[in-house]
Amino acid sequence: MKILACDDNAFLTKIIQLKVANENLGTVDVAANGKECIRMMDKEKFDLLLLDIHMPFNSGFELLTYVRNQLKLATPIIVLSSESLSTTVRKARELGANDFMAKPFNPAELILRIKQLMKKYEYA
Amino acid sequence: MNTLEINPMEAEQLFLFKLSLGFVAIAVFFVVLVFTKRFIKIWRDQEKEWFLKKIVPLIGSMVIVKRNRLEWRRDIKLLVSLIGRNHAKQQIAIDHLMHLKSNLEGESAGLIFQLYRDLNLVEFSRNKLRQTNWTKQTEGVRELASMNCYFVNVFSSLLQKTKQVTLRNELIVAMTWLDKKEPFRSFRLINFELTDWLKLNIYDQLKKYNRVDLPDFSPWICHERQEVATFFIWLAKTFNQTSSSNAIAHALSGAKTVANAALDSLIEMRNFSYTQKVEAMISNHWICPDTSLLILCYLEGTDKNNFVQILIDRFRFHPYESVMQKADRLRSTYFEKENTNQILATSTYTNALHYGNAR
Repeated sequence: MKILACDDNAFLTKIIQLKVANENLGTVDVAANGKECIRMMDKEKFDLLLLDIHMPFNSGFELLTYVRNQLKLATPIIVLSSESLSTTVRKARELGANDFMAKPFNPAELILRIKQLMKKYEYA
Repeated sequence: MNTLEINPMEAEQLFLFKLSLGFVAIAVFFVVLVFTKRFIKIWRDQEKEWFLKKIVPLIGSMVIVKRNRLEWRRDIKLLVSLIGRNHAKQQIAIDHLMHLKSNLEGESAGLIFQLYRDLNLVEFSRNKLRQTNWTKQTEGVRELASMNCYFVNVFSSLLQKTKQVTLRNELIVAMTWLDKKEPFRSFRLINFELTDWLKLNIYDQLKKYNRVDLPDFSPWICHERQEVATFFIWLAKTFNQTSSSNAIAHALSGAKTVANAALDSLIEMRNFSYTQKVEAMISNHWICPDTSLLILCYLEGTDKNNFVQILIDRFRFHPYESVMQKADRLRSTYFEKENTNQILATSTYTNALHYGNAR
């Protein structure tokens, strides 16, 4: 399975890479900002997206809109954000996010949610 | 003319020459200083980057991938050898651990605390508390607190000694979470201004507690300082700590602000078993519109008939604005129209009556 983690926090994406590799769930490509994320999505197809909300160039919300409205992709998306206000969660859901996790997060729980989504979308 | 005599023109030129030489020297000095500083910064950044490249994958893997005791010790040894006794590297390692801690929780957070201890960084942070510079001391408190390390005597004595507000606030907030035996020790040790920042941060720390482990607010509800008592009453209400009800009821007989907060809390907590105490408040507090409205709200929750009688008695001698306010509040919140009219009819103010009927 190919996962794209889009977060400007390099340490965090490293942790996600390690955890996903440790669970043998596949590989994690990293985009450090919204622009890079769009470029990578245009080039390749990913099975799951992990998006942060606050990023340079394009925010997570803009990326969600881009994936759902322009690329018209149904790729499962988990939003990871330190902003866990109900309005943010609702907005992410409305724009097409499949799941929302607030930071700080438990890596084990993230894996569980990835597995659940994969099962739902029949990747597992 | 004497040859040794200096011509005034020459003296002036000499002075200007020396002055410009001085300016050039100062300029050169500053240019060298700026470049040296810049060079040192670049060198330090490169060092930091190199060091982070070495430790980040290792720490990341230790936090994420389970290790047995032997593997853990091996990796700790490796990290210790990389960090050494270099203070800059120790600081980078702590900053990285704190950064990870702010993003991760669960088992990984536990492993971050373990790493902090095993790398002997506790002592490094603790040494900062012994320094005289308050910014360093604050840094030390923040590091220890975010890594769940608490030294009751060190924190308490520092809190009592320091006059620095930022450091004091940091200590108070840290102790609220770390001191499981007596989270509000700081309130006992010193008198401090309970600012909004502090209130918010204490509340944030308390949110981290499991509901059953929440400290008892009762002793602090009876605190002699009104702002402290009011704050703890608010906490009891916010966390719905029913065990503090007796202390809150006791606060009803306190000063106006405390009594108001207590009444508000009892209403929010839907605890209407202190009717007598609240009725007793009427003689002292009825004159105040805020309190009288709260008393009405409370009594409305207990017994409607009793409540109506109290209103009829009280409205008769009350100022016009207050009658209007109460009538409006009652109409919109509690009462059916006939009840409101009954109350207003007893008022000596016909305007109030018209107002009630018109609505």
